[in-house]
Amino acid sequence: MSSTEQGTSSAAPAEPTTAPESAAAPEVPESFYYVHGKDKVVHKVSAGALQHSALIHGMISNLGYTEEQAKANPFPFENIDGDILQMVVDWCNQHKGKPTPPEDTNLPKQKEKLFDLVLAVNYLEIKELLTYCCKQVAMMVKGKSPEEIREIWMIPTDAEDEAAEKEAKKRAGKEAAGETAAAAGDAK
Amino acid sequence: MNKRNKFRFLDLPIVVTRNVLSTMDPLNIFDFSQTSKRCRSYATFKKFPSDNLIIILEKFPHLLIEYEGNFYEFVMTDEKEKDRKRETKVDVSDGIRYEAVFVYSNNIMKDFNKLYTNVISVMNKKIQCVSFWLNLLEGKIEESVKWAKLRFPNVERIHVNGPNVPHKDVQYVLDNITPTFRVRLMAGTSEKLPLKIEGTFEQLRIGSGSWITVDHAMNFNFPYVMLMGTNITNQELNMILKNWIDMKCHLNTKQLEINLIDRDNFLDAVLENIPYEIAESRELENPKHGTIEEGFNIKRIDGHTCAIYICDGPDGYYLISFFNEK
Repeated sequence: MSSTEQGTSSAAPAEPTTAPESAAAPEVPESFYYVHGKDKVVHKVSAGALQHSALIHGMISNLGYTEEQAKANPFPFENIDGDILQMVVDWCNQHKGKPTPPEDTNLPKQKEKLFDLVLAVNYLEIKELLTYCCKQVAMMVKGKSPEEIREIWMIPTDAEDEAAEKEAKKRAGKEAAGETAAAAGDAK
Repeated sequence: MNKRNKFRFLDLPIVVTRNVLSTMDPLNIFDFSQTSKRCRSYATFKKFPSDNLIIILEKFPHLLIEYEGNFYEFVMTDEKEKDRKRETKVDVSDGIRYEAVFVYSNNIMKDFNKLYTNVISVMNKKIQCVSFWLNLLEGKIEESVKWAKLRFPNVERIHVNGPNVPHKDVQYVLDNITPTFRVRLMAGTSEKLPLKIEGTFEQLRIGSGSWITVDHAMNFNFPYVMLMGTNITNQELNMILKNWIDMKCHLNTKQLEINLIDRDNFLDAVLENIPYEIAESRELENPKHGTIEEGFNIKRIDGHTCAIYICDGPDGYYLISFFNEK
């Protein structure tokens, strides 16, 4: 794994902002973990911020990594684009230890980005962010006609769905026939 | 295809599509369901807990949906330029949102049939109420009543509205459509003649009751009776209560509400010669209506009690009697 510090995102602060702590009440120092996406850029994130993600929270619970171990073993999310993971990390940092507001207006407006963000957030199981994203997705078609909805959400027509279904059946049939032939060959 | 514009909604994980649909209002869900057969089956994921779907019959029919405390409405129109236009209003006093979308048609009733059947099929609901606005039906009363009777022979509720409408029109609706649960009669007739109201439904609500005599009031034996706008005096209210005590009326009624035209002489006149005890105060179902003071318990000859309260509603004071509570 090439999780070198060269990969540490320039956008991601090397030391995430932490809430001011009272000098009178010393607390256990916050632990940090490291994640990277498809672009291998490593992001340092506090355990507090990562609590938003049920998936990562489950992974780090009882892990007991030292700082060095965590740095040496970043969590790889190869299925998530680097810029999308950056957005997710930023959101988790911004909302660390805070109640989430009813609306979030900082979500991407570009359809492609929003689509990828939704997939990432769903995969990482970040419930509140998923709710915001879903509202944003719904807003894309608010007040639109069925034709407009079809265009915006790229919904296939019934004819296209039927054709795709036929094609899938044909493919499945061919595959099944191939398997049968292979099994017969093995038997000989 | 420009990669930046790629958004294939149906390629999202099913848990996400369900989540998105759960945030959409009924008007949007319906439009989504019309895009393809697959979307129609997705749209049925959405649960609509409210049971309030109302068909409003006026010059052009509407379909009104109550959902999460707000109202969404499809309004038919013959003006092409209005097609798909949306109107949104928010009631500042209670924050209730009202959103309407116009649907153009050059064959209104045919397309409305298609529309409402499609909507109730997507929502997996049925029409609970048919509401007639007689003053706006423009000579189509008979046609509208026949239409409703044919399609909703067992509708739960009917509403009849309209100021100063002919008595025969109101009576025509009442004679031809009998709901299973409630008649809400807010129409005022120009002749102010008595209306014949029969049936085995649960609730009768009359809003313009200037034609109602004390005899009518005693003969409405439905479980819930609300009579507003009547000219019934305190002495007549006293007569109604005495008849109830003697088991001569309202044997089947659980709740009777009648407007008070003279609030001041309540104790002297309405409860004259009726023994009573002070009743505990109680919360009313409608939070906008409050009881003014403590109530009065009276007793029927067979021992059943009735609790009487004076309430303050949007249209003034009224008397509410909870009968037969034993």
